[in-house]
Amino acid sequence: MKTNFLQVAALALWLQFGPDAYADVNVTQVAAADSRKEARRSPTEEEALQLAALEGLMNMPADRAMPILKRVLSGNQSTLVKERALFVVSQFSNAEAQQLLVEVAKQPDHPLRREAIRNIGIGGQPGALAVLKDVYASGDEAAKREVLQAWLVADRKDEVYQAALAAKTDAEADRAIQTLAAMGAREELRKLATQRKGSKSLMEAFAVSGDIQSLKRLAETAPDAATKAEAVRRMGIVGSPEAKKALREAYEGATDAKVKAAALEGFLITGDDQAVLEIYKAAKTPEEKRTVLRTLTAMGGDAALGAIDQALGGKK
Amino acid sequence: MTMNDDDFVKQFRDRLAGIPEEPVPPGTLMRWRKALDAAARSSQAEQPARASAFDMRLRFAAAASIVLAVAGVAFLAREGGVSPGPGPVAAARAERGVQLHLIELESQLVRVSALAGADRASALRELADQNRLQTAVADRAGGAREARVLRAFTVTLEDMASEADQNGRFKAALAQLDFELKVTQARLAASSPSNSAVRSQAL
Repeated sequence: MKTNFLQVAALALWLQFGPDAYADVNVTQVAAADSRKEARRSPTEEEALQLAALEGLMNMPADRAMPILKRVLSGNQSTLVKERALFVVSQFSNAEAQQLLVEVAKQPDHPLRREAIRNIGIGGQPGALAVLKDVYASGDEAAKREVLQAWLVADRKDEVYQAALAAKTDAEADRAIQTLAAMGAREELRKLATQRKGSKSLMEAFAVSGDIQSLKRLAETAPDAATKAEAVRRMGIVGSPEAKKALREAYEGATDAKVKAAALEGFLITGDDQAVLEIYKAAKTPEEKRTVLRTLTAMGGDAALGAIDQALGGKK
Repeated sequence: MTMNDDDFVKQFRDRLAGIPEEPVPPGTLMRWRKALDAAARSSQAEQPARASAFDMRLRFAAAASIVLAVAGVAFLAREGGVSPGPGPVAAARAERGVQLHLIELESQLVRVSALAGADRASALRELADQNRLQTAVADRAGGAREARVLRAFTVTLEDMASEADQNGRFKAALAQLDFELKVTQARLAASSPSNSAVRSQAL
């Protein structure tokens, strides 16, 4: 144990006083695109040693680790090493660590900005997270994506909801709605539904978060058949017994062919061939029988074989 | 008539005195030495072997009890039954659960990296699902900090799954995740002295 500590301390000292540490390089001159490429490669042998030293900092108190981390971030270690250093910073909850992340996140051209935003989410300190609202509001598309992901990591549903409400474009709203779906934020999505009734991404979010009630409500209250059909089709994604029941009700209650077709597509997604077979048997017109039979055959399975046999006169 | 001990010793000495003194043949001496060396080696080796078997049982018991504890918390979380609450015991249990999960994740990633394309993507999605479950457990036990790290890992695992057929990107993402796993494990081990033993017990 003592030997380990000494090794770690020696590595940490090496990081601090390594030959590159004192070089005066303005890191902000490096393009953000280069930073992304840096993150997309494996570490070299030299970097691997530096990363081992960074790992070792977790065994040190924050007041001893922070000066070393600051030196690494302002030195000319590679961007890859600096990005990893930011993760180590996020694991310290002291104000100095959070301030370090915030300073980087605030600079639009900083090559480490993306990683700093991510690590503010991982750190989860309220003060640092508050800064992300400004970063989101003033940031470009890439920064907005990173902030949404940081809010997801920090489980900040309200911030994502506010971002969806304040979205200036459909694409921006869609990204926030998708994030809310990934967070399982049903309440926030339901609140949004009152304002963005025809939004496909909202329906997708309801489906992903398993909110069949909201999809049913949309299908019942949508002003046009196309929106109703979109909502019904997505019931198939939920796939629960409740969703299968809702699909059956939607099929039977529909007067529009588009909605009926959407319900069959929903069944196709759930793979519930027995339900489709029952619809086939109850079909009232030859045209309806043909349509349902096509869905059944697309599903395959025993129910489809039985129906094909029956249609060809093999069984009654 | 019975012989007492003193008589027996006297008789034995008399008989020894009657045996002529002859040197032990070299072959016999060599055989005795080899036998003595072998006996010494086996008695030395036997002790660690017994200790190792005991150690293994201890490790297994420790790992099993942690898995049961984690499964118990997960069950409670899923069933919505009695909440363990964010008390110190539940938090410590969740922390140890996370530590064990990270060790397991680390070893699973080694296995996954040997797989090809579609199999790799599917295995990574499974790992992401396991990670989500562990996140829910950590959240419920009041381990918000651990839950945040795990959520970040889920995002990384999903990204890796979507790029599973691109070896360069996969390796880079794997290297980053491996680093972050080790740092998190080091933090958990440093924050709780009792946890430092878990890794060695679980391995």
